[in-house]
Amino acid sequence: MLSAKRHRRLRKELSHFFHSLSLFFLAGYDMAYGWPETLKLLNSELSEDLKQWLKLPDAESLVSLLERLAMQFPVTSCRTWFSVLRELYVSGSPLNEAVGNIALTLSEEHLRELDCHCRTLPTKINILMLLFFLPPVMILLFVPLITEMMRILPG
Amino acid sequence: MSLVHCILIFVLASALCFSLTFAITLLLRMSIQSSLRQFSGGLAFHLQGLREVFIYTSLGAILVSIFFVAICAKRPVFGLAIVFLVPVLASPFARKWKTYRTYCLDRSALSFFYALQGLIRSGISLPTALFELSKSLPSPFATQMNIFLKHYQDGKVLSDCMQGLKLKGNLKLSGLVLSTIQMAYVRGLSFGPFLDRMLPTLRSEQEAEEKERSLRRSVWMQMMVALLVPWFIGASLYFFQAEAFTHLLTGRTFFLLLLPAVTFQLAGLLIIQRVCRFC
Repeated sequence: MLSAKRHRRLRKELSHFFHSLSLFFLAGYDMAYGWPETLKLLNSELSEDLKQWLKLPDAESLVSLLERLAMQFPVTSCRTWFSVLRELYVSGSPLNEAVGNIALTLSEEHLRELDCHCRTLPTKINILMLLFFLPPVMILLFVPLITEMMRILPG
Repeated sequence: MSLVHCILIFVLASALCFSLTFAITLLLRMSIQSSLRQFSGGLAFHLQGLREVFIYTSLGAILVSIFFVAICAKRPVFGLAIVFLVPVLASPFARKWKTYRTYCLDRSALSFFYALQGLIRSGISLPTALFELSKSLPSPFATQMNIFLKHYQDGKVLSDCMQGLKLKGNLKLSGLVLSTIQMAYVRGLSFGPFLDRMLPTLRSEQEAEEKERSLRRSVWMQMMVALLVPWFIGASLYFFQAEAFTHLLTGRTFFLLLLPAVTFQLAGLLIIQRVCRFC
């Protein structure tokens, strides 16, 4: 079970990966060449867990890797894109536009979620501040005054 | 001298220690960077120094603070506590400073890449365009690029210079564009289409990051005010109505009062910090 933050981070890095992969198609390379080269290119930018998922093992073809990612990739909303890529690759269709659009879609999804986060954050923060910072105010201000009043008042 | 006074002097001495250390380090850095612009090559690459500068100035500031606390509070043990406090607090400060530097580099990189796109479109080669922009653009990214391009003049390959900048600067978004340019240069490919595709993405991601950052900053400001106001009002109440606090500040009641207040505030601080982060 992925946390929401890890989910977003993986999706953002995946969009960077697809952006860079689309550049290899622009240059006229095939996906079988572009995929591992993109991983090498983004070695310092991508996190270890995404690199583990996208790494092409020696004994596995790109098609089977895409199949595996379409079934098992931790971000379920991104699995569709891997199955789409697999279908296009197997059919021999040009991938440049598709990969570029996938990268753009993932970026836009990320930005939409960020907008939603920025809209809801002030409300969440207000509630949390009331929950966690109001009690100390009560403790530090009112407890001494109440105990002093109880001490002064008879009975 | 009472415990409260000793704590106040200790806090003051620690703040003085940190401020002195960072002020001296920053001044030295600025003066070194300005001398770098006048002298070519060698001085920049022998300068490993800011870490050492920070260590020596912080050691000096610690000694000054211990002396200050020992004289004012007459309890040298409070001064010695700074010896443990400084290393513990220095590393988050250094990390924050590094994050801020990376943020400044990333932010200034966009204008650099747009200018590079313009020069490439007009037919200028990549090395020439990088040299021109690193000398003429007044931005932190251009200054860093200028430092690493000195390696190129010493005979290193351009892609290694860009790789060095990417790793040293710990670049995030602009590192991606730099990697792409590096890849295209090594393969002898045209940069125009790459930059046309990457730069709008970089701009929108930077705008999003800027929005998130400004929201986090305002949340932090609110949190700091909420954190400090009860203690400030409590201190004012103590100052004006000390008898209300007298029997509370002794013995167990003090800790039963203080502990929940501090726990709530620390828990709130940690939880809000986690909620603020988007990814």
